[in-house]
Amino acid sequence: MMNKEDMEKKLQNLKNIHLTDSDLAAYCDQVLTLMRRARMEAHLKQCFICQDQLTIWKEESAALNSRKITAEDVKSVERLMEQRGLERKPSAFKPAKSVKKTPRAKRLAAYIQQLNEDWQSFFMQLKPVRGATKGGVEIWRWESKSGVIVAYAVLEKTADLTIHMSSTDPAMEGSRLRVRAGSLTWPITLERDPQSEIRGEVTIPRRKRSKKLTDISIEQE
Amino acid sequence: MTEDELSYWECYEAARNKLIAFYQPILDGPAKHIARITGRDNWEDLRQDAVTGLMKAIAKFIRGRDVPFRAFARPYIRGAILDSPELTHSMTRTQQRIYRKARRAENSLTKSLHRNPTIEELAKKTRLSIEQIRNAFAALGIANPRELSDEDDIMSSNYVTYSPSYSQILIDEALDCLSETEQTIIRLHYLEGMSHEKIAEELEIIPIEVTRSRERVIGNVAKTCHRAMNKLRKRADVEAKGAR
Repeated sequence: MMNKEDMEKKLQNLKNIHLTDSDLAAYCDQVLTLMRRARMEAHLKQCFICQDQLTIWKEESAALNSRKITAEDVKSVERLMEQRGLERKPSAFKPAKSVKKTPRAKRLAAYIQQLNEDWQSFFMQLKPVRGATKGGVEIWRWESKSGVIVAYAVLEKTADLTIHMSSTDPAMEGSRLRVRAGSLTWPITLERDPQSEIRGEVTIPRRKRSKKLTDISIEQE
Repeated sequence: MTEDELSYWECYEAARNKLIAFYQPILDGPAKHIARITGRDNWEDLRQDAVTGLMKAIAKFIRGRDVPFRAFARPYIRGAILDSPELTHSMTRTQQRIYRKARRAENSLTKSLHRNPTIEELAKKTRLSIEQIRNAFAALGIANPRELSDEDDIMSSNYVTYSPSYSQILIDEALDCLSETEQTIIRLHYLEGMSHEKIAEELEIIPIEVTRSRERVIGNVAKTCHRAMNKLRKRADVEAKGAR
């Protein structure tokens, strides 16, 4: 129990207490209450140890306050890390599932752009697609240059339009896309099927699409 | 490692390296001082070890607590330098012996003189040179890093419960809550050594009012600290039971 006598002794000893590193930091940053500052200044007047420490702290504060790190500073830290074996160069790590370094979303965006350009140029030069067919007819197909993404469109017996997409890249699993026809959209997710292929499809009902098909496009979610 | 996982690690390492580059100025001081006391010509070798301490501090630091990063990092930086393979055990043991001798003498003189001793008084008592004493404290600061192990940082509940420095934090907070007049009385009496009569003159009140205010303040601050310490002890007990 802290009684009055104990407190009297503590207050008598107040100016003899050395400054902690937190005290010194607060003193340099001038974030002190009046009483705390008064206590520290009373102590600094009589303690050579804390005076020396404060000098060191003030020099460091001055250096840090005007500090702007450069690319060279960061490079020298990286070199130091390599010397100590604490950091590996990026080539030492290969992501388990994907060979390319470009993030999946970026790669997919590039494929989608190429797909849409091909779709547009293909259907702009064709006559409008009407009515039902005898069976499902593939009316369009596209494959990326690397063969990673394949897409094709099938006009069903009912005149509904089914768009199929598949990928050989395992990283594409779970990619969520949207097929847009005018103001309407339908989701399509690339998932692994029982044959372990990554694919997705969406069917656009006949009455929901225009005859021209040029207003159809694919987007990333 | 997946691609996302790899990119998170790369971001973390880039940020960590920038922090290390930014805090380079706080490594030079400890490295130079410890190199001086251990008689090493090349302090830059010790700086590399200081970086290890800085990295540890960066990994353990939690922003938002009341400890500034520089204060938090200092024991880690000093500790890492003292653990350097560049320094032999005998060198560091000798310097730590000098440091402990100086600190014990400083504590004992402070108690007997009721003030901090001058460096000459310390040198006389320890029979060390002024330079040795100054260098020891410059290199190792007030709290010897060996006195705090890796786990014992100021925010751990054990340290909070038993460390005398935490009662100082409570006293500081209690004094901050006093009125302006009460603070002036405490400051003038305990920090500047003024008598009650002089304080009364300063504040244009009668000396008996100074005495009464002082006694009231002592009682209130003692009560506040006592309650706060009890709360902390209870919390520490609960945490200890929970940990079991």
